[in-house]
Amino acid sequence: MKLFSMALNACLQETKTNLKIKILSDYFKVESNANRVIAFHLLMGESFGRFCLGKWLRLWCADVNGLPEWLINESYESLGDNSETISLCFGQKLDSVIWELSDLCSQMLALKSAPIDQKRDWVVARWQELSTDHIYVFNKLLGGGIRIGASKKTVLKALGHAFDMDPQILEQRLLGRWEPTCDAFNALIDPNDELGQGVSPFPFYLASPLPGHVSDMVTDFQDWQVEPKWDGIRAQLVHRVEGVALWSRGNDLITDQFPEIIEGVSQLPYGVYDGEILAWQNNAPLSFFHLQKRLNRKTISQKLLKDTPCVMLLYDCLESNAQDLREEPLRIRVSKLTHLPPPFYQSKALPIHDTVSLKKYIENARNAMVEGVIIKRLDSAYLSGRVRGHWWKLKVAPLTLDVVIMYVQKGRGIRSGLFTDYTFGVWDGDTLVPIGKAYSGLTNNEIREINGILKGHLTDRFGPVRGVAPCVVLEVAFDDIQPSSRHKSGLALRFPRIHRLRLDKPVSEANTLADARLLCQR
Amino acid sequence: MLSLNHNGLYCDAGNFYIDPIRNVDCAVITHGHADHARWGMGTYVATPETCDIMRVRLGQDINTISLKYHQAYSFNSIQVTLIPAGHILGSAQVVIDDGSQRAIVTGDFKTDHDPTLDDIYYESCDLLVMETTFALPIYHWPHIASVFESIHSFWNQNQSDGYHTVLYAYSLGKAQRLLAGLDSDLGPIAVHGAVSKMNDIYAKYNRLVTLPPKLTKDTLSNWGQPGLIVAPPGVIGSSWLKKLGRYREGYVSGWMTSKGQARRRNMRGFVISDHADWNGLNQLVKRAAPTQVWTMHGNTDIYARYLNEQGISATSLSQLRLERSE
Repeated sequence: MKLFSMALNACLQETKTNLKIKILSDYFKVESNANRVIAFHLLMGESFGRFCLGKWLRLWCADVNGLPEWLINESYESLGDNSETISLCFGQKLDSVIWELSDLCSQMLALKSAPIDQKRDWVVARWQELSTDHIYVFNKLLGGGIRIGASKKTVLKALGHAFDMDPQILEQRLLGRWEPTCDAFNALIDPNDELGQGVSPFPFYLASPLPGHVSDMVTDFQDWQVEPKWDGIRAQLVHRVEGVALWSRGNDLITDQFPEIIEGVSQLPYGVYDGEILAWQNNAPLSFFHLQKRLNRKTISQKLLKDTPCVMLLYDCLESNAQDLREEPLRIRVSKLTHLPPPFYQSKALPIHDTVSLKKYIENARNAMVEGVIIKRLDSAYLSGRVRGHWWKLKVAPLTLDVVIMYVQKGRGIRSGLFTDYTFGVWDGDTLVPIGKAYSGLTNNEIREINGILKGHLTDRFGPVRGVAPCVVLEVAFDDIQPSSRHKSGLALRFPRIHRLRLDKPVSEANTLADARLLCQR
Repeated sequence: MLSLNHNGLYCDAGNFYIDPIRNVDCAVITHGHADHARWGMGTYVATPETCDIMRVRLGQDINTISLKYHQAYSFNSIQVTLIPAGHILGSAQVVIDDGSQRAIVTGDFKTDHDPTLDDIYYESCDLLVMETTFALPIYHWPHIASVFESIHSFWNQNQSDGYHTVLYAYSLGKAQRLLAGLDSDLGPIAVHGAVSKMNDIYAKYNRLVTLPPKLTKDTLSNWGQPGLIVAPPGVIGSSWLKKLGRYREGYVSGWMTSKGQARRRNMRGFVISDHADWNGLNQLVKRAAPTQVWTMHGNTDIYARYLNEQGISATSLSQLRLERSE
């Protein structure tokens, strides 16, 4: 516990990524086998499943400290981190019992399905034995993300540094099913271990946004191919002797959500395919809103199967009959994608060979239900991550609306204590109706500026959410707008983000519901 | 005995205000921070230390009545006494007595010991008007010695890496408390001009023994090794820092309790506060044993609700806070 807690604190205090890597790498070297796998799991942003709801922890913390529950909740709202709030409520104290991370973890897992009273007694007893810093780590173990400003990549670099391993190999070994056990961890860092591939995918290669003008990057169209950028779910289909699996870009298994695609696999040659899942009807894609219904569901009903028939458009082949093709040029890899059985289709290159036709295509892309284009070098290998120079993406200019902030909520972690989550609306007559919510797009200075203004305009309180009298106009950008029952406006935005802060604009001049409906009917 | 109007907290029988926010004839001032001691009052009643601070900050020509701690002063039928608040040099709680009832206005206060000023003095009262800046149970100040330990090791590390250390602290109060605790054997120390001005007043009252020089290009070249600079938070990101070359920054404040706050500033955070923490607030209420509490500044609603649930009648004066922030 002590070593991990010290490493976390050191990381929190450090602002330079290189030094964070050094701190974590030194930590991995000295930590015991049993502890470091747990620490690694937590640092990678994974959990051991939530032990209990955060609100239970706050209630127990209130009871044991003789404080009212609402006061702990207020503290939590102010600080934005449950684990930190609870640890701080215990004041500055030292350990009375020294605990190992691994012992805490195994006891926790053993109690996972115990009655809530038993869980409570166990948690409270640990709180009383641990120091303030260690209570924080313990609470993180019970559930909740560790935020120390170190990305997964940073953690993998640190691990690679500690055990003299290539972080990319580590990343690949982690794909698929990773269990936080000592055996799995030892296999992960074993330089000689050749893990069976199983149904693991490869790390995705991602296109980078085109910096500057197309002609700067693409000097000769003969060396490149232009593909439509579908607005679907990027996925890798793994079809090996060992089995079949469908992986999303977030490395989630989505096999069960698309039974019709899995059914069609038997006709497909063994291999690993990269492509896009789309809801498809009458030879054209349906909007992403239809596809979304498939996600986060355990079972897919017959009705859903019928209403949103899905296909997979393939644009790359990374492995064919157990042969890794990732080093081969794109033109060779796509040659494996001919004669596909439905529901698989090739996402073919577009007949675009100059900037004029490219521009024309982009202008019409929204009507063709396409987000833009991906421009790929014909001799590009299938790399990993966002390596620039080989694949570029060019997106259609987003739609925008000027909206008014209606509700705000304080952020978490690095944004704690500041209102950073904004629900916004458009005018319907002289009242505002909510149309969406956004978190991203503002600079720290802009967030601070908005907070200064909001302070004087807060109205009602709905738990952590505060109402705001109309005072700030935001220009929000989004990729699509569709009818929806989620918001009072009857509309929903896809990927809303804050484009610009419009302090120059009076709230009365924000867009109206009628404006938004017009965009929707476009 | 006390009421609130658009000028601030008012004593009708004595015809004076305490830390008023608009220009009035007679103002009793708890301490020299800018949100309490404002320009434009007819007469300022304050401790000698606070009067000196105000003369430097507001002008030499202000009218002052200087009242030592525990020395009584009469406004009509009302007797006023200033007692130590433990916040910064000269900071006072205002004790207001009409012969039958007593009120105390704490101003800002802390209960921790601070070598640069008198410890807080507790007195009982009927009405307690108190600040509640850090009124949440997450605020428990760490032992000051352990904070200085981490500041010193930060300084040491920076020195051996060839970096100056810049610590941000309010120029009045926090900066001097910091200077009094820093180990000057570790390396050279300098201060920003705003800090230096206030240091002179602390020196006059023998609260600072060694006075670090103001930071200039000359000081830097004389040093020959990386040093430590104490500066107000206002200089963060300003060109004043450019003369330093390579430096690392730390922020000294009670708000640094939150890991997110320190990370957002992208610098080290050190928890030293000149306000009371959760236990400090509760201790003051216990010692004052009032029948009525009014809360001002910060989490006023939260603390008033808490006290009411503890059986102590309390009202939040958040209205005043709103006016102040205008």
